[in-house]
Amino acid sequence: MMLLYPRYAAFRREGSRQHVLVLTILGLLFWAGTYAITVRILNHFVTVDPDLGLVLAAKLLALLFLMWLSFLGFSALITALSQCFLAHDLSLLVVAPVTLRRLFCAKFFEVAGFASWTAVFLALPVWVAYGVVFDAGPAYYLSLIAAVALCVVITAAVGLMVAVALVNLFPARRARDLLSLVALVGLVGVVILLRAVKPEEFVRPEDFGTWAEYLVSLSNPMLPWLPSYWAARALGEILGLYHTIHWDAVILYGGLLAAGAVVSLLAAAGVFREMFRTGFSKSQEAARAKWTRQSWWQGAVRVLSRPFPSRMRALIIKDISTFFREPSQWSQLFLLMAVIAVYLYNFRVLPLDPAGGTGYFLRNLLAFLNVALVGLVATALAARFILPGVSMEGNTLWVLRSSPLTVPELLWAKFWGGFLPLVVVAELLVVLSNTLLDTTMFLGVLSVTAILFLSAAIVGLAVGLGAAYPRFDAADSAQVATSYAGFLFMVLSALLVLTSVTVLAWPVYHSFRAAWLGWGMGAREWVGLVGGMSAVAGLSTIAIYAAMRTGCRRLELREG
Amino acid sequence: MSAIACYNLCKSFGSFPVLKGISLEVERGELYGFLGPNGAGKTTTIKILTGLLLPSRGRALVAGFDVTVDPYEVKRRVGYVPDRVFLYEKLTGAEFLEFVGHLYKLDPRTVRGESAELIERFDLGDWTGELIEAYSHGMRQKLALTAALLHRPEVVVIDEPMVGLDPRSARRVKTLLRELVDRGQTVFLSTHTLEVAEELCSRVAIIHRGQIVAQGTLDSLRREAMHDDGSLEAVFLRLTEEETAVERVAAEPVLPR
Repeated sequence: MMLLYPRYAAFRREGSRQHVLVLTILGLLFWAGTYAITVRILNHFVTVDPDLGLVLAAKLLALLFLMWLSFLGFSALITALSQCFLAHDLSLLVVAPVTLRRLFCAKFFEVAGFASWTAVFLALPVWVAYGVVFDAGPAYYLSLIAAVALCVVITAAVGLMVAVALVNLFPARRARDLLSLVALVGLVGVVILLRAVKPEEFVRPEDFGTWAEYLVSLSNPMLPWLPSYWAARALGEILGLYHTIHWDAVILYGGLLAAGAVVSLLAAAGVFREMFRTGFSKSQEAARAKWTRQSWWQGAVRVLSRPFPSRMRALIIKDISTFFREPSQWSQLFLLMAVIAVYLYNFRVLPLDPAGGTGYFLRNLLAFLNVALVGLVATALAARFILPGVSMEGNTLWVLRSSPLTVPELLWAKFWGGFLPLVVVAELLVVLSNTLLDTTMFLGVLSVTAILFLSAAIVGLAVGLGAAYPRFDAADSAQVATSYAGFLFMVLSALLVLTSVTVLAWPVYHSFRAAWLGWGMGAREWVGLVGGMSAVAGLSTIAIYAAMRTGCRRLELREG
Repeated sequence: MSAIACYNLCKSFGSFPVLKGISLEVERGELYGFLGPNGAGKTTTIKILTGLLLPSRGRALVAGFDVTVDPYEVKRRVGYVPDRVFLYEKLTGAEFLEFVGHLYKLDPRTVRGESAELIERFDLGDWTGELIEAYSHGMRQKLALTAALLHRPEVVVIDEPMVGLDPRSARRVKTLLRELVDRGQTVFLSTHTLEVAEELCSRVAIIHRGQIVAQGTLDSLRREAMHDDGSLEAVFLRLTEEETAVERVAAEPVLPR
């Protein structure tokens, strides 16, 4: 317990009275809202059809526990990696005469506490609502406390065990790098797990052949080998969701939970004892950046950056190398690919009439609106990847500021380094969605050209505002994206995209009208297209010029 | 023409004055020591000389160019090593040197040529292919010094050069600094390691609470401090005593603009 004292002291110092008051009010509002919604849903279940209502309530409880346990497990793994291999107190604790057993106990309590408090806070009103609606006695609340505590123990122990094993399994990889990968994989895992449950089927009984099939499907245990099911089943029995209370089932599932907790705790202690020291040592080793140092890679980067002047080229090569050697950066590309896949898939499954008539207009209207959507996607990507560029120079800014590199050279290097990949992604989205929508040539040309200008303007805004309001103290780029510069950029960029689409609406309307009347594209339509596009180009140029100029001026005046 | 000249240089952060009218001149080919206790204003002065900070008042000329009027001309002629060396963790040592070379518009062949001898001298040969995140503090310091010398700067400004260096590396750095001066380059060295200044510098200035309390050769400082046979440490301690410092600053003539 003594090892936890510094954390307790820091926690006490950090909490000001205003913070506590604001958080308490927000917390109470959240609880009240969640409680009210849950009570309403459960009452609706039991009043519409008592038999089906109980089955649905039991299923919902199991689903909620599954989501809760997934969140808890994910959180425990991240916390364990962070507390066991990245925490600042480790260098002190590891060299101190602290036994591994005491260290394990301290880290276990830290992981259990840090990982679970949010999850418990979020779920508490739901559990209480169940107790109130189903008129539960003290046995339910006592069992709930025990079940939650056992789930927390299991997830904290498994999280610790997996974290220690992972650090050992991935030699010479820094724990910080591993953390971002695990976070991403964990997030994808939770999504896949929830997709496997197919929650949408519960509200679509028409998909089943008969009513009985639907009921049987609902009554099937949901992932019965997970502690979430054991907890939900034991509590459901006590609540009377299975008509009569089967105490043998309560004892069985409660026993499974308790046994699971004991076994996982012992296993975690064993793994920690055997593998922590080697894992800790390995987590301090540096990565070797294998493939970004291959000659083919370096050659490709050099060829791509050849058109730029010497200093800008050096900066672009440096930024590319740094990006692909930082797993917390490049792992986001998986997320980007997933976004693109989902984005395009949505267009593919749209129920649009492939033949003429309204289908034609719907498809082309969607393709036009898609320009705005892609503009907003590009804005989000720029906020995450391009806006933090200058801020991320951080402590190394002295290298640039003490050299003859001018601030405009720095910002234009950031501009081109961001523009080229962004325009490729944005144009890919536009061209592929246009192909899937089978749009006209007119809209194809319009959307590709508009996105070219908008991408440049978005990157200009991101680089300029990122330089004008840098956060050199930010720990990572996500912090910059949510800073004042990030907020300002998102607002201005969204305004620019929406204004541009509004400007283009006029020539698009006339092209639709011409097609509807069977006139085809005449001079008037083409003039409209050129005029609208010129306006978008003008807007984009103004945005780039103003943002880059502001960024240059403010950064030049900035000292340090 | 002096390599470095400061005239009544002042710098305030908000309402807090850090430099209160510093005037000094460093001749070309001189190894000049800039001494002072913690928080005296050494790093602030250096940041002004290298264009990282702008003076609130006064003038600073480096290699004949005004740091406020022609900052890029100054930066082309200065090599700088800060007291806390933050480098790009995800670049290798060789990539970092090539990157810095590009900033000074040097081609990779020149970078390799200029850096080869220093890399060898600092025992960095086995490490240039490794990411900088694997480097120790001393290795980063040596890499930063190598990078600062790539473009053969007229003036080398080094803030606390010996911090984190092992005795062998410290000795090599000292030899290197002497060689630079022999080649006609100027070295402006800030330190609070008095032995280093005593061993290397032809002249020193002592800064205390944002003001120069003494400058000159070690012998002249000894005389001024009335410590004729004292070490630089004794002279330093004497000159940075509160009463002595105040008296000396009041009597110190400001160099002409």
